[in-house]
Amino acid sequence: MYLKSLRVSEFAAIAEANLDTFDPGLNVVVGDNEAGKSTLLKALRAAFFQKYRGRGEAVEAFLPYGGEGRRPTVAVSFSHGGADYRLTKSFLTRPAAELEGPWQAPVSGDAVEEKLAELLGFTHPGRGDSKLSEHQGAFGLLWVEQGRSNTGLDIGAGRDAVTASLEGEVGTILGGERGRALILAAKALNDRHFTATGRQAANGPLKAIDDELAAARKDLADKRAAQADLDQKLKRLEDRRRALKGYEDERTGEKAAEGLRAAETGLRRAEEREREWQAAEGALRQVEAVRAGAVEALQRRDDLAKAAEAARRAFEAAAADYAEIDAAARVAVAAVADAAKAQEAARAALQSAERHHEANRRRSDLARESTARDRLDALVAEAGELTEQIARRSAERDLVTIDQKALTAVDKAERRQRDCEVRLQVAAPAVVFEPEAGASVRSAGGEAVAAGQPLRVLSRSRYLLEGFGAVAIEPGGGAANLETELREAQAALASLLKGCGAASGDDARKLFAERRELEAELKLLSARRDALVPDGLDAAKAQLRAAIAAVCRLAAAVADDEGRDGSPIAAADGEDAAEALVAALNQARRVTTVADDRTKAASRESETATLRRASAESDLTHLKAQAERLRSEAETAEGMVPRPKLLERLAEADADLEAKRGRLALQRLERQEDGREAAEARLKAAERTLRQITATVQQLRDETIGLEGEVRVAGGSGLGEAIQLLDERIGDLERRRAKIAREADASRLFYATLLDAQRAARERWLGPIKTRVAPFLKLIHPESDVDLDEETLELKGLTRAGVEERFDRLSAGAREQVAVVTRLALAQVLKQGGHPATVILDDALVNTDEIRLERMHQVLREAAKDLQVIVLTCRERDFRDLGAPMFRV
Amino acid sequence: MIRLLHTADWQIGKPFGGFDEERRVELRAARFAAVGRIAALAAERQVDVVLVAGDAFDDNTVAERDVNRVLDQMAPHSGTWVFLPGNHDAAVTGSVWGRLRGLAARRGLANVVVADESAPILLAGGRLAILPAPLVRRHEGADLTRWFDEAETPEGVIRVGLAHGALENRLPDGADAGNPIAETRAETARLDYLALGDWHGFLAGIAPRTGYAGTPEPDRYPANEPGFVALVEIDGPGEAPRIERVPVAHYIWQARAERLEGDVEGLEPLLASFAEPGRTLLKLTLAGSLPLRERLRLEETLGHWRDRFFALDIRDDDLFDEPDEDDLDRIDLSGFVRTAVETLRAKAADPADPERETAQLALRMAYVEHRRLSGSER
Repeated sequence: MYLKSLRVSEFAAIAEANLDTFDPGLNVVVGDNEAGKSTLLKALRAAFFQKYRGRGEAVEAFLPYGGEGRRPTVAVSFSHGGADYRLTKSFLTRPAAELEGPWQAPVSGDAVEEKLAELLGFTHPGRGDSKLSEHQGAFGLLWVEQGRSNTGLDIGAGRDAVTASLEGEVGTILGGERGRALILAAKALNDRHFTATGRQAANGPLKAIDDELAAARKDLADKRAAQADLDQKLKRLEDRRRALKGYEDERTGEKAAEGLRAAETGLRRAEEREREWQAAEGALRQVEAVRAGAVEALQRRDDLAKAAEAARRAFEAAAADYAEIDAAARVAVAAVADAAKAQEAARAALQSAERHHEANRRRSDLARESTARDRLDALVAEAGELTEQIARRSAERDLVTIDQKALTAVDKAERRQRDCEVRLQVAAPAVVFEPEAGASVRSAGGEAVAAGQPLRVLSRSRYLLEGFGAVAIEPGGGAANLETELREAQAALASLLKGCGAASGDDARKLFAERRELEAELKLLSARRDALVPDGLDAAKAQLRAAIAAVCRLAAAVADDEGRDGSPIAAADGEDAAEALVAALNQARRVTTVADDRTKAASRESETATLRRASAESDLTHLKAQAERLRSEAETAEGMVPRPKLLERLAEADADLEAKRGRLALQRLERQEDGREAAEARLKAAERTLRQITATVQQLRDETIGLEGEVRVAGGSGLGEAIQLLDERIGDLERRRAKIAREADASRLFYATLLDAQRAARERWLGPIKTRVAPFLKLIHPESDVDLDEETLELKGLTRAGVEERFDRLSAGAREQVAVVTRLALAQVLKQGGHPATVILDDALVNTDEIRLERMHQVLREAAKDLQVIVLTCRERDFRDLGAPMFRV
Repeated sequence: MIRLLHTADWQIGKPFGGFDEERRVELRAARFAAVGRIAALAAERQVDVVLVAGDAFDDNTVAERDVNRVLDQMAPHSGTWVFLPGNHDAAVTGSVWGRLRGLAARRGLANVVVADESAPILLAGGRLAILPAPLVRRHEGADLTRWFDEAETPEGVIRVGLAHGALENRLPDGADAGNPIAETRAETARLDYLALGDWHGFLAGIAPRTGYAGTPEPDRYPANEPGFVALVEIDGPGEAPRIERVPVAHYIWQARAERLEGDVEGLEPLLASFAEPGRTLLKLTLAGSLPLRERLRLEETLGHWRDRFFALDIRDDDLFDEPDEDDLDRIDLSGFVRTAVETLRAKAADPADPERETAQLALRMAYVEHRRLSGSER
């Protein structure tokens, strides 16, 4: 394809532009900034890719400013695939499209869009604006807009065109369009089953069938469980029915009832036997009592006889004993009488000794008492003398009344009087009478008062002055008071002295000394008397009187002794006699004591013997009575029933007892073998059996009825059919699953194998592209090589002298140069593949230095040999030497 | 003369789980319809009694509704129906028979007899004695017909045995021998006819005076001949029975095997040979090997016939793809596609490769897709 002409009117910044006769090779379009050369490219794109009826924002932008009602129009002539075409599109106002081509009549309207897309290998967007990377095929790659030259290749959807074009060159290696379609088909197959990451797809057929299988299996398990349950119930039902039938067939219940009745009869029989046995036992006990009575009677009889004999023998023994005891008692009485006589004699001797001893003692007492009386008499006389003296001195002392206290008061009164006198002397006015010659002064009393001498006036005084009359002087204030006080003191002293009977103070003191002397003497006398009679005179006098009385009494007693006895024991006098008397007395006392003891011992022995005799006598009496009573009783009993009769009765009882015992033993044996307890146990067992059987049968019936109900419900539910159905369905599903799984695996293998093969082939794709880039690249960057992404074909980087450099890190100049040469190479590839391949570069080399720009000119010239290249530039100078037709905007 | 209709193995309630819902419903319904046809036939031929020799029901838990439908279908024949419990519907506790009796009683039907006890049943006014051998469990193991030998019946009565199981030594190998029946039973028990069930094919005269009626409506792909009932006429005691085979089936079940080597030419005539594909169920087992193009043709052919047959069950586990050079020429391989196809071929041809079968299928996919794309290009 190459562009032949382009006419633009009323399109954005361009009012009218007409570029005729483009060269099939290199062309340069020059325009200053804002002149609208980029608008030319926009208009070109609008003509090819923008639907003429479009109203979007992009289309609105076609209008010139203030161009309401204008009609942006683009007309392009181009040749493609050996045919010429002319395309005209008007937008917004009366939109129209027309395409002339190798046809009879031009195509117009919407058909133009379809035709264009088909012709140039691009697509229209479903809605919205046409996008460079998605819809415009290789034109993103070929028609480079301002500012995009160094950003990469903008290959986008052009990649398919490039690869398709390359295939023409690399031949069958790449598998062609069909290969790609096959991959898509394989992918579709694969995607049915798997996700992008190779996992089983959630909405895939395998998942669906797995879900179905799981549900069916669960359902089956449920159904099987239900059937197992039903089977179990059926089994139980059958079992219960069989058991019930067994009970009924064997008449178990009736048999048990019969057994119960038999047991009841047995019990009644046992009870009867029991009663019989009890009666026999009663009879036996009676016989045993009778025999015991006979035995006892015999025993009693024998005991009585034995007792009578014993009593008799005891009486005889007691009589013998009594005779002995009685004799002994008599002997003891005689001994007591002897002892009493001896005792009496001893006592008489003792009394005589005592008398002698007493008389002697009284005489010596009399002598001693007489002496005491005489001494007391003298003592009382002296003490009486001393007492009289004391009384006299005491009377003397009592005459002197003054005592220590009175004396002290006198001293005090004297001191007061003197004190008053002195103070009066000082306080009283002193009067000095100095009469004229001869004149005298006298006191009121008439005494003359000495002249020229001070005279103390103590109180109101009246002086008679000769020739003058009288002067009364009255001492004022204190002097008068002092005088009064003095008088009181004088009166008090006088009163005290009078009380003491003293004339003056000194007299009083002398009296007091006299009294002290008298008191000392009194004290001495009293001490002497007290030494004589410490208990007082009266006590001594009483002692004297008592001594006198005692002497009188003793004298009388002695006289009495002498007169009464008439025996001259008075001669016994002196110490020796007294001692002999005492010894005789003691001797007599000892003899008396011995006699007393003997008498007591004899009495005690006699008493004991008497008691024994009394006791023996009592025993004898008692035994005698007893022996007589027993003998009488024995005789009476024997008289009533003789002993042989008793023996006979016992023998009879023994025989009866033996017979009854034998009978009872037999019955006991019977009872033990088939007694009441055994019968009761049998009855209980029979009752239990019947109860048990009845309950079991009832339970079996209940269970059977319950199970029949349950089974009836479950029985007709089609469970077996459901299970079989599920079994078959699961089998079918498993078969289908296996098939689908095989298909899934196969589709995955198919797709994977295709992808692997494609990847391997791609690695060889890039060869031809590089081959084309290499000569251009050599001109600007020698010894370097481009790296292209094998998938997107975008530029990855540059390898310079073996060093890999990432594209985005190259300089802006290097990027645009590398991108431009690669675009040119790819355009060549596209052209070779029969695709439109006109290259338009809008200010694509603005960052390139002069030297390299020179070389780029060479590249462009080289490329333009095969391609139409249109350079849009604002720098005419840069491309002046290119030798290409210049167009101005 | 006594005229009996001998049938068996109705298998009412068989679920047909291997089929889709629509076919399942139709196949189940066909079994009821078969009972209806039997009843009509019995009425038309005025038989004395219909003997159902076991397995009238597929399972003892058959739905109540299905039992009722059977009773509905039986209505045209008001004469006696004698049902023998078979292995599928053994007279166990809680079996279908209690329910059948109950439902029949409820409808006031007195002509339904369940032969669940081993005791003679006198019918046809005392001219006919049926000696039944009911199964009271699924597999008895013992010959339940032994008692026939000693069974006393009144003088001049026609004795007919009714049993369900395998007649010893008379059936092909592989027949279920869980319930054996002595092959000489008809003779030893002085039977005028021994009506048997369990074998689904019609086998009259398999032993003297002994026959299997088979199922009236086929339910599987058999090697025997199902789909009939036996109309048996017996003139009197000791007289040979006359046995007529009457078809009652609706669906035709067929199993075929075809070997395909290199092409599918023979298949079309085979499929076209079925007179009524619409009521035919065909199980077709394919074996051999086909190039991919023929495989595609096979799919196309089967696709067509699948819609014409009532059911077409293809078993092709032993049919293998064998891509040849022609196949590859046809798909005009180039570039990486060829590489991929070569890889898959190598795998598919390598018996040691674990992915061999997968690779074969993948190869077929490649072929199919490639052809499809080529077709769309044209």
